[in-house]
Amino acid sequence: MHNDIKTRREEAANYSSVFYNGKTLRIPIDKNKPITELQYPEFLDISLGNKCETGKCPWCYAKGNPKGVHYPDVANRINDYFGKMTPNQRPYQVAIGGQQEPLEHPEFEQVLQTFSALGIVPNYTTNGVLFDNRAVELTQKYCGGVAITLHPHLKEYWSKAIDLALANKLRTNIHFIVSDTASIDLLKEMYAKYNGKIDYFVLLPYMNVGFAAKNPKDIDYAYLEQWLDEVHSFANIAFGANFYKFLKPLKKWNVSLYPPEILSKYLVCDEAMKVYKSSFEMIQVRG
Amino acid sequence: MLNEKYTIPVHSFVDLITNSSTEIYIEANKGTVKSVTEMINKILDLGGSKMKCDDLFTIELGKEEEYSSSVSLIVKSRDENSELGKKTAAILSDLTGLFSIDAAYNG
Repeated sequence: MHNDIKTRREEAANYSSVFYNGKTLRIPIDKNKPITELQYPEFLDISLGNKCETGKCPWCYAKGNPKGVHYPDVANRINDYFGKMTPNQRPYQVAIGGQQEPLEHPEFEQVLQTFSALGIVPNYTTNGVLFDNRAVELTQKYCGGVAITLHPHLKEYWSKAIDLALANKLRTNIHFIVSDTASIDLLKEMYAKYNGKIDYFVLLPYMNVGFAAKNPKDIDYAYLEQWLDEVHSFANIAFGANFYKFLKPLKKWNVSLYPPEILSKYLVCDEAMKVYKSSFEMIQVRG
Repeated sequence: MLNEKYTIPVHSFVDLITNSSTEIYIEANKGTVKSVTEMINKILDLGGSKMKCDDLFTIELGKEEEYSSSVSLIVKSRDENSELGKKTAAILSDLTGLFSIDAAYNG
């Protein structure tokens, strides 16, 4: 169901793209000029609420917590919001996560149905705690894939979740939060274990915001660079936007770099349905 | 005569986006070429062609420092003088219309 080919174009941003089978190829209209910030994002991060009971992650940058709320009526809000857009304005795909564990949300299935009906591929991030056969079915039916975040205190859950996802041939990414030397040692261990089995290791820098501000950590960039040099030809490593400042001066590894947030935005599905720059930088841009 | 080489100035290429903290930067690699080949195959199929990308082109990665992108795709016609080459030109022209690529055609 996701094998339709789609194209998008924004003249003002010098942007054109083709989307097929979950992959997006971006091409500048004028090859001598850069692609600039899109009026209509190519993809969006989606928050369905800030209530999160299963994770209780002390470093949660978004402050998801058990006393938060699942935003109500989100499937209808999403349908209204994106249904008004032309196909050229709709994002190719969304990443559901934001402030909570999305599998906790009571409307999760309806949300996936709604996005899929709109021709938008939904993907999501899970901590693995609630990832079960039903989640596998929903992912197979509606999603491009799933990301499983390796929070150290939830190892028994994400370990099983990865096995379950791979056993069911889901397109599976691993999200790994990179911080100090010990975290990179764990990354090396996980890379050795799952390399060649999962689709991408998505490396995300530890951000000293939200709950993590109480326990700030420095990222061992030198050690990370050393390991990446050792890996050298990494076909399945991707970097989150907040690694931009690390990657740009290095000019290594053929990574496709562009200024963060020019192609994406963050949509919070509360009553206001406001769009923000990103889940790290809650600067309202629309809504 | 069809120019034997075209360049698709790729700004970036991304796979499945699952990251709830915005953009993902991915290294361009053989998988990128494979994915673009699959895209072109799909476009050819939608256009009613029985030809495949590999029948018409070779695609490889190349560096083009003047572009803002870190990598470009170098697309070469397999046979610039044959009938297939002419068909290649026509199809590539269609593709470039869709992709907005500057495709040269000398004759």
